[in-house]
Order: sequence, then structure tokens, then C-alpha cells
Amino acid sequence: MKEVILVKYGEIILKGLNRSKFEDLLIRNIKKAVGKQNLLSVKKAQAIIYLEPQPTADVDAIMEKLQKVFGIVNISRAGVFSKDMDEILTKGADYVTENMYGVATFKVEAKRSDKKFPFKSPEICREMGGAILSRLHKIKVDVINPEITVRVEIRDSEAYVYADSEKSIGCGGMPIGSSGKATVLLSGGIDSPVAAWMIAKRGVEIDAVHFFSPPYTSERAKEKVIELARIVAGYTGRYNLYIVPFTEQQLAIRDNCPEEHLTLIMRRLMMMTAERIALKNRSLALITGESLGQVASQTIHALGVTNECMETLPVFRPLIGMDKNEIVDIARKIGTFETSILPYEDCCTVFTPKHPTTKPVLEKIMESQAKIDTEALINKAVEETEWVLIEPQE
Amino acid sequence: MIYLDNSATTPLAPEVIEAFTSYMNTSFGNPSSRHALGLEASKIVSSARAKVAKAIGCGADEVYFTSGGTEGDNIAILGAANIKKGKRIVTTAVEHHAVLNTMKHLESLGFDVVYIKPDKNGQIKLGQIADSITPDTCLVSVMHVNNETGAIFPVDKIKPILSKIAPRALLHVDAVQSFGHIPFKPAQWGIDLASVSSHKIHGPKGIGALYVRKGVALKPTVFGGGQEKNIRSGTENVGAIASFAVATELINFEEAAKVQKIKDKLLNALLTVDGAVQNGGGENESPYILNISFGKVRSEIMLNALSNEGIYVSSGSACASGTRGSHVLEAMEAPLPDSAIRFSLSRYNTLEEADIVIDKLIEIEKGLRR
Repeated sequence: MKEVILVKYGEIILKGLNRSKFEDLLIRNIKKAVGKQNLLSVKKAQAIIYLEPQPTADVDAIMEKLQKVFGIVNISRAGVFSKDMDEILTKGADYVTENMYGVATFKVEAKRSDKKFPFKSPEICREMGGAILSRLHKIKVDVINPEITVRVEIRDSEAYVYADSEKSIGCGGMPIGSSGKATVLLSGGIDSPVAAWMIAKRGVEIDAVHFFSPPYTSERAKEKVIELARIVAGYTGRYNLYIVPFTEQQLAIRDNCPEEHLTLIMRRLMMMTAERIALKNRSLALITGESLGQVASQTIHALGVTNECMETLPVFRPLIGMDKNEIVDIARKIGTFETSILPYEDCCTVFTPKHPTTKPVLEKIMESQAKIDTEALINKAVEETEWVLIEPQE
Repeated sequence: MIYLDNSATTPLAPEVIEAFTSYMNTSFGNPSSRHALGLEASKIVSSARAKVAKAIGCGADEVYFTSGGTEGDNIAILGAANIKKGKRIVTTAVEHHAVLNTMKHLESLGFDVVYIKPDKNGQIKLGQIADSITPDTCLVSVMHVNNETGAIFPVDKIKPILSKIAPRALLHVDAVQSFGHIPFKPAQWGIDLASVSSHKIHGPKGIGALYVRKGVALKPTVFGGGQEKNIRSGTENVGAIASFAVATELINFEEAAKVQKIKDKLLNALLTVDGAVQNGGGENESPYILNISFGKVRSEIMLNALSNEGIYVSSGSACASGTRGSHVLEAMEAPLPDSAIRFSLSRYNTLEEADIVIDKLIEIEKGLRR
């Protein structure tokens, strides 16, 4: 029996004249994520993409990969049958009930886009409901709040029978590549991978920058960031990670600037360095995991001071209005949380002031920053940056 | 590379690698199989058992192979704890987590566990142990050498006291850090149960032994095919067992004197660093372990910096990676626990290596101090 995967997409449908461009991009991203060798055919018709897997391919694995492709709202694994009511009610009912043992309630929804099909939708529903009830003895019909909805779709050349499952939910958003590139400052904590994911979800291609301070931070901490980057790459596809050695810069700040300003000056230098790297690689924005009021350096005053140093690029802060627990929920959902909480990062406390300023005044910070040669330090950091190509985790 | 993390694990001895490869290649049989290959494997295990017994100084029938120190500690403690004999268990606050977490489990089953605190040098006195034992004590479990400070505990003198106050109680000793390094004589000292491990004496990981004194009835806690006289079911890890036996044949207590010289050299030179203090330094200490806090540089940073130079040390015990802080240093109220570095030595270290480490460390410390 033939099976296909029906991919439904959301916002793209609203795109008017550009719609087919977005659809083609989505198809390209799907092929990249799933692997062309796993697909026999890919078709689009009536706002649905039909994927026919190779007979040898692992369909569950393909579904899991599709759940990570931005732009998709629903994924269904469907049996393909000829447009013959007898076949639909026998083979179709057998197929769909195979995974329904233990389910308490269901309903059937039918859709008939071929109006020449001799049965109308309500009739199809009734007949299919009867066929299912005769196969599963403990199940009941509930049209208001069913546990599972069985769908029968009569399309131009074939009929599809399927049931929704938890694997049907896509992550929404827009296809990657539909909206330019941005560079995320990836720290290894909980927030920045979530910020990267949220912006990528809007169709933005990403690059990442990580600051690393040996020996104050360890090789393991660096490996952890690469690991996090790879988890995010499961959604975005491969991308560039720039690892910036930052010990010398931090020491210069520590040795020359007033203690209570250390964190803010460090963040300014990081933003400036990241902007240089971003511009060099044609990014159109920076992304940070900052959330208003989370720590001393993320108060409204502090954010103003960090933001001031940007020359041209906008800074996207998708977590700005979120609570920590809301961020953690997303981190768990996208699979970065467990890696983020591995305890390697604590060495950075060497550079944390005991009493950081929470209401910094820009002029004062600038005055402190003037004690170091910012330009030279940034140039050196950019020069010594190491490039790593991040591939999705297998 | 200079490897000074031998309390975490040791490099395999060349003789052990040779034995390991040869057994893995040719003698893969299951000792319980009735055919010739099975018989061959079973002979290898018996011969290995005799060698390990010789190293422990006991009879071959008192040696039970385990997967290592942690499993040995678990099987011994869980098998010996018996609430009908008494609900009190005496141990120390500075045991390995294999003991401490097993004790925590026993507390949840209703046992009263007493954790003896060391003095500021990490030492535990016999009197403290004696004072903790009561007639309703069913088990005493004390390590021989502490894995973080090297402190040696008086496990040789506990049994006579225990026999007087609680005659039915058993004595377990975690000898993972002493076995093969300093004399450990469980039979002579009246110890009932003792855990040892292969990979701390240049043998492979995943293998160890539990000494069970003849006549001690240990309740099994691992169930299966009845191997190791029903104390540790599971197909014998023949190649690892044979290689472990080879490692025990290489034990030579005379090397301890050479190792002591390396320790003394490191200690004398490193204590000249401004702010450095030794964690330990009591009367009875293993030559193989040295723990120093450098005061002005946090452990993890020093460890990273030394690692970048190809010098491998530890900031606590490696087995507890992921957890923070050292329960040992905390229990002995060490003044500078955040900057502790453990140097643990082996027969393969040299005085020349000590010189390099001293120079590098002093240089690194100057660069990193705050």
C-alpha cells in the first residue's frame, strides 16, 4: 500500500503574488532536511505539499525532521487509496485503525474537492465511522471533543485516509531563507539558543558568535556551545559559528576599568565585535537572548548603554518581554535545555563585579571605556576568530 | 603530557594491554559453557582469582569479581546492612559517593547512619570511630585512603573494638585508593568486606573485586544466573578479569618511596606560592595523593590553564563531575576549598615531571592571580 506525507503550511498562503516563491523555498528546505534520497516524489497542489517517501525510508524519522522545518503547521502520514468507496471503507479503515487501539473517542471528517465523487461528505463520514466502529469495539464517537480525528480526503486523482497524531504538529513560522541573515550571540546559557530559534522561525538564516575566555572558561564549555549550536541547526540547517577568543579583552577591562562597570563594558565590546563579524558575513541584524530585568546588565538603563555602541545593525531581542519560565518552556520544547544547564560556565564569575551598576549612566561608562584601547582590542578579537561549520545533529 | 590525575584513573600498564588484547582475541568463551572454550575461560577466571587473592592476602574463595569500586561498595553495604541486627550504621563524612549515596538510600529504609567528621587535616581518629559504635550497630564502613586528601584512616584497628561492642556487626572498607599503593591486609585486620578496583592500579576499567571474609553471609543484591557464588550474577568479564590479575602482579610497594619523593618535592616547592596551603598534611597520608589550595586562583581556572599546557590534574574527585564543591574539603573545614588542586601520582611519574609542573604552575599562578 502506498503512503504519502501531507504537509500543510500556514502564513505562506497569505502571501499573494509571492506565494509560489515561498512554496518553492519551503520545498527546497524540506528536501534538505529530509534528504532527497529518502523521497520518491514531491508535489504541490491545492496548498498542500505531497511527499512520497522511498519504500525503504523510515517514515517516522522523516516526520520528526519535518516537525523542525519552519513554515510547516501540519504534517500527516496518510494512506493512498483509489477513489472507490469500497476500497476506502475496507483497506482505508484497516489502515487507519491500526494505530487507534486504546483510543477512547473519535470522529470522522471528510473533504471532497472532487465534486464528481458520487458520495457527499456527510455520507462518507457516516460510512467510515461505521467501518471504524466495526473494527474497534471499545471506541465511541464524539463529534465535539474527540481524542482522534480521522480524515478522509477525496482529491483529484486519489483518496487519502489518515488520523492526526502528536507528530502532526509543525513548528509554524516562515521558511528559512525568506528573510535574510542575522547573527546571534550564543553564550551557552538557556536564553540565547531560544532567541536564535525564535528569529530563525521567522524565516531568518542565522550565524552565531561565541566568546570564549581560556583558561577562565574550559574546553568543555566550548564543546557545550558547539553542542547547543548543533541542536539549533536541527531547525535551521547548517550554519557558521564564529568563536572569538576574548581573554585578553576581558583582562584589559578588568585591569583598567572601575569594577562596577566591568560587565557593561565587556558587553559593549562583545556587541561591537559581533557587529564587525556580522557585517563581514552579510548579516542584517544581531540577535541576543536578553530579557528585561533578568540580571543587572539587562535593566532598561543597561540595555540602553549596550545598545548605544551599535554602528548600523538593529539588535533583535525576541525574549525581551518573557519570564524565565516561559523561556525555559521553549528551551525544553526545542531540546536545548538539558545541554544549557550543564555546569561548565561558572569561571566567568572572575570578571563579574560584586556590585554591578543597575542604573548606569552612558557618559560614565564611556569615560571608563576610554581607559582601554577599544578599537585595537576589537580588531584583535576579530582577527583571532575561529570558524566552525555547524552541522545538524544526526 | 604529564598525567597527575591517577586517583581518577591510571594509564594501562603495557603488560596489561598485552594480556587484554590476547584474551579478547582468543578466549572469548563464557565460563559457564560446558564446551572446551567455556572450560578454558573458566580456567582463566580461576587463575586470575588466585592472583588477585594473593595481592589482597586472602583465599581465592574470598574474592568476588565486580564491575569496580562503586559496585563493590554497593554490594557490600546493601548486602551487610541488616535492620534485625541493629539499625545503626557508622561511616565517615568523607567517603566516596558510592558509599555516601548508598548510605542515603539506607537512611530512607529506616537506618540511622552516623557520619564521622575528620579533623582539619582530614584525619579520622580511632577514638572517634570507637565512640560512634553502639550495641545496635550492624555495619561500619570506613575508607582506607581518602581519594581527595590521601589521609589514611585506621581501618586496621577497628575490628577488635567492633567485636567487643557489637559482635554481630560487619566491617566494610573501601580500599580503592590504597590497594596496590600501601599495604592493605584485610584478613589480618579482621575486615569482613573490602572493595578494590582495577583501573586505579593500571588495569582496565569496568572490573574490580570485593573481598568477603570466609564465613560472612552476605545478602545478594544482584540477581541472575548465580555467577560469583550468587553475590554478583552476570557473565564474567573474562578478558578484564585476566588483565586485572596481571595488574595486581605488577604491584610493588617499594615504588611508594619513589612516589613519596615526588610528592615531597611538589609539596615543598608549591607551598612557597603566596597564599598556598595544603589540604591534609596529617600524620598518616598516602604518598600518591597531594591536595593544595592556591588561594588566589580558582580550581577550575588553574585546571584549564594546566590542561592547556598538557598537565592533567583534578579539582576534586573526577567521579563527582557535574556536582559542585568537595564534600571532603567541606567536612574538614578547609580554609580555601574553591582553589583546591589534587595531584595524584603513579609509578610512572618522575622527579623531572615534578620540576616541569612546579615551574609551569608557578608561572601560571602569577599570570592568573587576582
